[in-house]
Amino acid sequence: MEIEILEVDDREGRFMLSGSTAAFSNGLRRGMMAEVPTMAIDDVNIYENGSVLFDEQIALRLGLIPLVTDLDSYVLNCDCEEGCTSCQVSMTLNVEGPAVVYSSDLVSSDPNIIPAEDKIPIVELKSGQKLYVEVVARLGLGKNHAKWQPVVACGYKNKPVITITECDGCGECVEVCPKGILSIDESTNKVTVSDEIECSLCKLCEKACYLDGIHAGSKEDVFIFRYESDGSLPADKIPLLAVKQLREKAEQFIEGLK
Amino acid sequence: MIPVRCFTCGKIISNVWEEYRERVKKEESAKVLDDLGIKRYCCRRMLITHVPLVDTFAPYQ
Amino acid sequence: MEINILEKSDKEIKVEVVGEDHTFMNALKAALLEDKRVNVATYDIEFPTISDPVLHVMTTSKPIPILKAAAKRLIKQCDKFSDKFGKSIEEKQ
Repeated sequence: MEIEILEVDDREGRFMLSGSTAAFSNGLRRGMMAEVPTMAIDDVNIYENGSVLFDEQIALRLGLIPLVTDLDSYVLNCDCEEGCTSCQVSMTLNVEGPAVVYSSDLVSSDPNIIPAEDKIPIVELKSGQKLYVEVVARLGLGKNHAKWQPVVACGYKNKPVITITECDGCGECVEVCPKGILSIDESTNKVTVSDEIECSLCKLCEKACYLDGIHAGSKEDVFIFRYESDGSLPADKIPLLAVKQLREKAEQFIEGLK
Repeated sequence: MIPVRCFTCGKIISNVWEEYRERVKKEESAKVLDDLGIKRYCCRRMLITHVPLVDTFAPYQ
Repeated sequence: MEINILEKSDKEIKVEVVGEDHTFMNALKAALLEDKRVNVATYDIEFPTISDPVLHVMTTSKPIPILKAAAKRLIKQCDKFSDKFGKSIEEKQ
């Protein structure tokens, strides 16, 4: 198993996993989407809502706001009954119109758990309208609700491989390629591939080539992952957290067989 | 109100709505969206097709 | 993790793995199939929203050690991933 990080920053990641199986890759992908806990608003108490939106709509919009998650200080399955400081955070939102209520208006009881995005508009209040709500944020899993998903647009593909067997430099394939990764090498008058990884395997080049000399295939044991974080967790941590969950499951399975 | 996230992929798109709305008055929307980092067409349609209705409903509260 | 053994003999086992889904079951199934002693390894989630997956394995020797060995292989894969991923991230930064 080899891993090459293609690009990674706070919000986006792309890496190549070679020498692995589809089953493991898919476990990793599903783990990233559904098994990594994140913080999201779960309970909303509405004391006053004079806005144009219904209470339920306000609650949904609040729930979808990504919160910066601190997995060291909070636990997913807490033993307490009523909720305690190690499993939930309460926040208040109190705005009087005329104003636009933003996610940054949420006042959190824990300064580490704050909205990952400041400028999410929740509702626009006209003069005389008021919004006063109290919310409770908890850890949760993506398999229970998409608001607890740390990643968006998470997926993988096999590594594309373009092979050129015969070429007379007609340039037909260069013209049809929607990704623009093919070009004609001036010196040899043959087609060359610049960025193989970008190929989407649309096979338009195969159709365009009258010599049948170009073939777009893929490597079965090399996977290119691409994902974006919604801001709740840093993008370089998410695959590690997902694989940790998968490992724990395997451990529990062995434990359960005893 | 603009939806908080893209319906399809779940990316937060509402945080750029106000800037988009202002800039699109003078610039071409495709360019603005590229600038704001809205890459996928699922996210782009969220902003392009949104019609704000708060001002329409407000008098009937 | 709760595991219910539904059927068991010297060369066959059917276990219900409570609360799991394709994330773990498919990876485990693939790990089982790497083992030469395993003839058949498959799982079924009878009704997707309410059933728990049932793993069905047919082997040439006692099935439970084989299941444990497969899970251990999966753990090893996970460790390898964490190790390599951590190192690659460090290199990148």
